[in-house]
Amino acid sequence: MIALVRYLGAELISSQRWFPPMVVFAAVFGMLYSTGAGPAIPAYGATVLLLFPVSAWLSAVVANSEDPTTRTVTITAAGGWRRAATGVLLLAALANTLLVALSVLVPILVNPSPYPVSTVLIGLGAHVVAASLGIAVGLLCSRPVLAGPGWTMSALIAVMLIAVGLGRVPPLGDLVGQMFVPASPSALAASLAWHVPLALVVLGAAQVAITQIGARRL
Amino acid sequence: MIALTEVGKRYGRGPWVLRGVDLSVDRAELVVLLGVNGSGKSTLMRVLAGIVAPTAGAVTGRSTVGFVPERFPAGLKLSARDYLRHQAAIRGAADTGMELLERLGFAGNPDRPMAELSKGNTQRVALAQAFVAAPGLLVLDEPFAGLDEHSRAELCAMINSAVAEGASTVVTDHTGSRSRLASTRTVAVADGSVRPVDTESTGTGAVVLTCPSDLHAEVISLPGVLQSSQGPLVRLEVLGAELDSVLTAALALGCSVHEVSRSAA
Repeated sequence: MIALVRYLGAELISSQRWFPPMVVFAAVFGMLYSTGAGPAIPAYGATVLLLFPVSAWLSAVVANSEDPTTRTVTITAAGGWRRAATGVLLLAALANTLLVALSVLVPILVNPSPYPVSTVLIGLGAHVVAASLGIAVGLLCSRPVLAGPGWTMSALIAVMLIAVGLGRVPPLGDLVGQMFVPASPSALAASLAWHVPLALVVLGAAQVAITQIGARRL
Repeated sequence: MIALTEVGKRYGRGPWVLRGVDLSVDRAELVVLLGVNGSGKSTLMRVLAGIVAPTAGAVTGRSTVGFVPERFPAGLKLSARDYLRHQAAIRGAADTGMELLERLGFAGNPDRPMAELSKGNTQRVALAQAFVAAPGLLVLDEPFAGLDEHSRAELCAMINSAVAEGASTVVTDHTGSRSRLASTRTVAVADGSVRPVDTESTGTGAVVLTCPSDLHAEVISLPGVLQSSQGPLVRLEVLGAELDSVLTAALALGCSVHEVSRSAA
């Protein structure tokens, strides 16, 4: 499995398709923190909002990067679509780990005043929620569920518009709403105690669906 | 070995691409699949290789798979050396595949992006990754396409020795190179089902026709037609015993004969 993730990563890096989502992330992230983003938790809330679409986009890029025919070869080498799909998920998770780490750690480094541990943990939890949901959406909007990059982009935009329209609803909107207020650390911790597992369950369900749809469709 | 029992495949609510396919390939057995475009041949290859699950029926006995797709894409930015190294690692093989590549007459730069390789050299990379870990099942869709004579002979030798070492092997071929493969069983795929064909006793014939394009579908579905490729001319491969009847029917449809030849039985 490590060899598979390494190959998918090498293919992704050589294709340079990871570049656009990373540039958008870096640009917006830089704008948020260049002038001082104010109180820590609302600032984390803003990067959670940024991470969700970027994570979906980057995960979709991970899933779509390999050409469909090359992918068939990789599937046979990996020993089936289920294993290949697991490799794609792991690479998406790895890429998103980087984004989560940047989102949580950079503010601590650039801010003169120290962050309490509770704030950092709340930030970490909230970003994990956004990244998990982003990976789920990104993978569900890519091959083999949808036919290709054109469909992927339309579907991602549609999902993001729907998410904006829904506003402060679980599993993400209500959490970000609480962070903007900001609610007390204990209220946020209580909220994360069910948001994090819920987001991971959504991601797991998405992966099961992708595995089954792919086996029928490839 | 690998065995397909009553295998059917359809995509979504589309038509059945395969239906009621029973096919088993033993250890150290080589099966050649013949079929015209749209016969379900490529889908059958994908089911055999375990890329897609059948809608109905069962596949049993599949071991490790080496797969060569019909047209390996040209766009990869990875170099041939890196691609093969990664593919071998995914399969847990110690080999890097570079010897296979050289043996197949690879003439490009293995350290430049694969997108810069010629069609033949890309095909050699596709072949090398399939053979690199000595898989128990080889599924080779048009492996000879794009290769020169020397490489085709070398590939025949590679397939023959893989089969001799126990690999179950399934090959499709439009180039005629399969005549140099070791003893084979020939299976025809037509309308989504398979049947054994006897190309040994009466041989096969090649028919080249000039044909209005609206007649193509009708011509390739004539009984006895094993394979076809359509360009400006329609090239058919026909079962020896049916050669006369196919010619008669094609002429009656309004096609004109360009060339006919018969290969020895």
